[in-house]
Amino acid sequence: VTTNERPLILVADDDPDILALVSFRLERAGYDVVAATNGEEAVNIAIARRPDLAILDVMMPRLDGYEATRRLRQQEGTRRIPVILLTARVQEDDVARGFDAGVDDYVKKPFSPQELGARVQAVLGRR
Amino acid sequence: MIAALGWASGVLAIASFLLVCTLAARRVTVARSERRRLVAEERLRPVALSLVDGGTDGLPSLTGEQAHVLAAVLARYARQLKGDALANIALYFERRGGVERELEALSSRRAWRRANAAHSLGGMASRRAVPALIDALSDRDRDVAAAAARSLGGWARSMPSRLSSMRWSTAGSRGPLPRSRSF
Repeated sequence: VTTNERPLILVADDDPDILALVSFRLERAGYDVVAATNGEEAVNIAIARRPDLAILDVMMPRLDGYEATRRLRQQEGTRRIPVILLTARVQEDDVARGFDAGVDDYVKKPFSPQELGARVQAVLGRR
Repeated sequence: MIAALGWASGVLAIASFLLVCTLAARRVTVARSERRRLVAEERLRPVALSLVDGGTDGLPSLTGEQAHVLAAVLARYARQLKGDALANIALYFERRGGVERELEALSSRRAWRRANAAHSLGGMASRRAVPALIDALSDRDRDVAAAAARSLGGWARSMPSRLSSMRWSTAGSRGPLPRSRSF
């Protein structure tokens, strides 16, 4: 948990509408939010800011959500950051691929902000 | 003969010049209107986000253009959301009369208007539009049927069970459905 007591959440999505919707909901729920618009930026922010949780889109430019998760898991400082994938791809293979990469949870698009908030809370609570 | 050719080329040059000027003016106008729309959207985004979150109180009074921009933002959000957030969007459009307006347009004699209405209803997420959109699937105009299919298809991703149960219970009937909290 960050020093100001508000957990910091990294949200990465190349769709500005999703970023706005997720950030708004999380800020209202009492979290600090830092946004990224591609996978590479998300990894760099995670390394620099060490968020308490990362919510990543799967289909992002430069680095997809799976690869971004894999890179987070390879770095000592970011290895333990829980990752939730926010994705429209929820076929069995996609889900398995995500868990192989080290994802903690999935939220399917279209998404319910309430459900996302609950999952964030649950994943943070498990830490 | 040579003089006539000279005249013709002169006229063509002037016409080309006028055409280029018209296109340039049109481009400037479109760019300016796009910039205005983006500024309005930026200003209205907090309102849209608050509406999605259920905050319908304190909605500022909007000009026609602002209401149009807000509706476009909410329609985009509707395609990304489900649950209460989606119901809040439906509630907004139902209260503002948007759903009624588009349902009326869906009965228009003009195919382009019906197609626009079928597309717009997809972003309003109102359950009241489902029977009319199902009827529109068999519209004689393919664009209308395709727009209705896309709208219903988008909803099927957000609320598959509800939509599949409604398909059979509402097809062919236009009876009133409960307002708001639709899906």
